[in-house]
Amino acid sequence: MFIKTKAIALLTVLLALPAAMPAWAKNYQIDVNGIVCEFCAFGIGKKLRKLPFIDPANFEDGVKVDIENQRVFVSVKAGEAVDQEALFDAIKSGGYDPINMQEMDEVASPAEVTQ
Amino acid sequence: MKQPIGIFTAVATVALGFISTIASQAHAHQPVMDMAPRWNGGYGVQTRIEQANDQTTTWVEGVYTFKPALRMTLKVPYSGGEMGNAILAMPIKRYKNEGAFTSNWGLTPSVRMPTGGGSDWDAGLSLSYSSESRKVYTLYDLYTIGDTTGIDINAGLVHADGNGSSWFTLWDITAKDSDSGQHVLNGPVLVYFKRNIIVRGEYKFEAYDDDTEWNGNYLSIGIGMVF
Repeated sequence: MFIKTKAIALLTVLLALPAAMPAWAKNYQIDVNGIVCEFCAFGIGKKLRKLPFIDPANFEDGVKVDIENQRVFVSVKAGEAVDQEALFDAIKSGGYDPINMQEMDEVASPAEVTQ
Repeated sequence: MKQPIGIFTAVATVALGFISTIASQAHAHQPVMDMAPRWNGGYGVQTRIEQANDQTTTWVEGVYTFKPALRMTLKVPYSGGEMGNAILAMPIKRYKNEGAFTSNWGLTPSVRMPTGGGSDWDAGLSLSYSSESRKVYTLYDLYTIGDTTGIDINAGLVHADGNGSSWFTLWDITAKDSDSGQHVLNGPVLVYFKRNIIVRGEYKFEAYDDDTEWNGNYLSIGIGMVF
């Protein structure tokens, strides 16, 4: 009886664990044609950071431009839906051409994103 | 893309017609921060101190980007405490982005206003091409304003540190032809970027001078910011 009670308690804790854990922000990588100069691409970061679902806690206020590999990294707030069209529009209005977007590992940190 | 192409063609036609009817004296020409801002609603300011012909001129320059294909620039010179003739221009650009390479063609109609006195208005037009990769930057600018026709060529290397700043080490060749004669200058240009700040210095040696209004070398130092 005691063992059964402990098992139920443990199961209850395990089931409740995901809700109790903090949710991770999701990071995305966007390949962008033409980004070779951070001065020229300054506006991309400016445009992207204005989007409401960008998480300023990661990268550099939520965005990182990688001119070495022509990529832009964005972090999306936990629980928020990512709006790819808004992201692409922001990049286009910055004068560049986004190609595709893919989700990175949930736990990817800015340190893992190489220049 | 239909709208920018339409604007491009219309403005070029009007400007070419306009420029053929107006001619007057001319001085310096230089784009206001060709590289940026290239984003919608971006703007920038720049000031340059220019030393040429035993005269120091301070230029206060501004740029506003309506969209990547259309900007407006204003350049106002001050010399000896007095304002000179300001130049208002509208660069129209067509960008091409490919992998680690970006380039653009630009057509820039301009007008020099008699803000420094007099009543002459001068029209100008520039056709430019610039390209940039991770390592190389080039700019070619063929222009005419008033009685002056000239060409600027900038080409050189880009050194990015991967932390938001870059050095450009370029060589500049400038050739001008006007009613007063012809001269050719060339020399090094050093450009430094850090995030949204640009610092530019250039020194050009006189390579050829058959110009009654030109004398000696040229120095320009400037700093600008984009937002």
